[in-house]
Amino acid sequence: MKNLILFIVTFGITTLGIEFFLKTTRITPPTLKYYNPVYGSLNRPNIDYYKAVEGLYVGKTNYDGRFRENYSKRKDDKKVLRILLMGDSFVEGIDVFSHNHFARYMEEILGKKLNRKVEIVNFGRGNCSIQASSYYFIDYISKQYDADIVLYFTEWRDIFNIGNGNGYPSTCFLLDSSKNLTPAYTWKKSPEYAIHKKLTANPILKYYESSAYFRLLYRAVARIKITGMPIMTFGKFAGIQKEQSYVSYTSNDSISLLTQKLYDTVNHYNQGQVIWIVRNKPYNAPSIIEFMKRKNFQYVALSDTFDDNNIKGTNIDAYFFKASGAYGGHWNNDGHKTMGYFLSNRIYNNLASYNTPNYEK
Amino acid sequence: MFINLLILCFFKYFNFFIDSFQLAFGHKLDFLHIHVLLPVGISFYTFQSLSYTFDIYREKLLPTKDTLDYCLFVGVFPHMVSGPIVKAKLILPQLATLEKPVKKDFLTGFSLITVGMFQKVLIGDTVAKYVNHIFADPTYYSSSELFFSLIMFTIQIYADFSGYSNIARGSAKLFGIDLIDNFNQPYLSANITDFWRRWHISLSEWLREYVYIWWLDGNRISKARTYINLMLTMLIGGFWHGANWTFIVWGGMHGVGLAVHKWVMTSTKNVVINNKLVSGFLTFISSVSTFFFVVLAWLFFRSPDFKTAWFYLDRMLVNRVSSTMTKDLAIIAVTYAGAVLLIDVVENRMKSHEFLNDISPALRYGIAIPIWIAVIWYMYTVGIPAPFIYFQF
Repeated sequence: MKNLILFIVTFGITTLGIEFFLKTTRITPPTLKYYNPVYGSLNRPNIDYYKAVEGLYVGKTNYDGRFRENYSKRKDDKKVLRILLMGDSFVEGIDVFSHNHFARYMEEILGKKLNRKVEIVNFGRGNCSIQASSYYFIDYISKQYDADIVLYFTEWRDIFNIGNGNGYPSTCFLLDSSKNLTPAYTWKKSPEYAIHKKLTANPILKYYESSAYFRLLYRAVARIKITGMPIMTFGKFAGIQKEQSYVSYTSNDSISLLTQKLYDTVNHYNQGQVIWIVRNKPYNAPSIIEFMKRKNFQYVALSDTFDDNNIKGTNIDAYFFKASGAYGGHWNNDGHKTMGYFLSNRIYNNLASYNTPNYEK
Repeated sequence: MFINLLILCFFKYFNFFIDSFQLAFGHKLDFLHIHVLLPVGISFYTFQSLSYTFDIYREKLLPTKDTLDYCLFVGVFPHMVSGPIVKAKLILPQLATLEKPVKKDFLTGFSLITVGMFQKVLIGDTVAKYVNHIFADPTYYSSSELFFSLIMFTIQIYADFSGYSNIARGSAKLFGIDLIDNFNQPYLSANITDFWRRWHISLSEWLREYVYIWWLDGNRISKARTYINLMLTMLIGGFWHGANWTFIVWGGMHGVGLAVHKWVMTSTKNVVINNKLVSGFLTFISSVSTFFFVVLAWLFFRSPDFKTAWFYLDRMLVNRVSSTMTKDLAIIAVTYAGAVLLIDVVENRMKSHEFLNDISPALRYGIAIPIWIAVIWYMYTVGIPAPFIYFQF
């Protein structure tokens, strides 16, 4: 009996010690996400560090966006040029310190060019397609936040009607029987949310999302589900995925009706303020550009960005992290720097043509 | 001996010699470059084979008549790729009388592997993410970020290599084979000489016995020659690590450190300090100085080239750039350092790396099970653990 008690106490103390270690070193910090009854999964407030599989993902988040302790929803200083960023993990800034994110370069470069303060509010959402984020971006961000310009990042995968298949636990728009956009709360019926509800109903387990141990288990199970137990256990002996290469790929598929409606709706809600940033390198869907042209949307294609802004004299791989199969290879420090300069120049050169109410060049 | 060194030179140093010749004399000799894979662990088993040859030549060991025993001595898997560098005279007698492992061997092996996995997987691999990220392109980071990345590399290389050594020793113990301790809380060293008695012990003992004492005659010729011998030994030690001038500078720095320490100790051997407070203070200053000297030397060890190392020094010390993330990185670095220190202090108090074996089963498994849970879960989040740093040597 004495030994059993000693074992339990030692086990508990060691577990707590490792929990502290995992959390403080940010190996497995508490989750960034929480469930909002209307929008589903959203970022928690004031999470300041997070480490992803490929490398680091460092910076401060507030309730919705990143990099600032506090974003005020309404602009209180008319002299400030405010730009909202909406997009996926590239925009969120996975793998770079916040001071190396392209938003910071834009604030500095564009601010100097315009001789006024530029504030970038970053709503990039990792592991999330435009469709999964659509309801949150359109119904919440676009309504709540004042902005002079909205940069909305899109890419080739967005053309498909992924619908509920995106797997991201948040409210998204789907097409109803009349082919109109309608919010879908299917995430509330997902197995993941069911587990969440079950655990949070338990007085002890309800803190599971704050526990590094549980988070580690969660990530392990997720990776096993994605990659498979044999590969995760035996690695290359079981045929581990090779590093992703950046051979260009062009999809000749046309844009789904859902995507067209989403693009239209985003533009409608942010009338005249949206600049679509089409990330079409190394993967490309020409149908997006065709659509933008046809609709007379303001857009910037990134196809030649890295070539034209070749700061290292090397090929495109120099701007991306060598990727694991799971994360797809995001912009590295050089990539973000290039993006910062490129977007600043484009916005500066074209700003007069946009409907920016507080802009005086 | 000649064949052993020839193989090592061919695989590891041939291109380096060509490049250095080109750099010095400007001749274009690129066509001479050889494109072959470096055999894993070649530096380790070459030195092990050399120890066999040297010991027989010096009549410290009789040649083994069993070829299988010799092959096993060189190729036994736990130590083959990254040491410890075992000497023939310690292993061959064990192999000759090897018996079936007993329960105590299993417990010792389990204890060493558990601590080693914690060091390697949870400390070494995870801190490497910060280190690799910043060393990949330091121009993007502030002075404090560079400083903490260097501190974190200091932690990484210790956790990685001592973790490996513990796993290697533990694995060997499962077969009833004893390998020597490779680390003995090196960052708690009182001075640089002490550091080399505690860091990569198998290599430093090899260099001391075969290079410094046997080949160079150690301190038996003159004072000046002693300092030169120390310097030469450490330069060879640096060169052993890799075909890059940064490793040679790293070795040279330690050589200078050892020579200076030897000179200070010789010059002050008649000085007696009776005041415990003063003596303790001097030891503390000496320990801290040693630690930061070792950290500084690691900069050259980790940097891919001198340009990176100079950039680090310049940004950390001269053209400083501030950061808003100093506090965050400091907390992370201190936590990692705390974990390493905790293991060191426990090992120091218990006077053993196998301390889990020396405590009651309730305590042993109460500590080991949570460690293994975290290690296994973490390994499943990353798929393939990072290779050991010393695999490249």
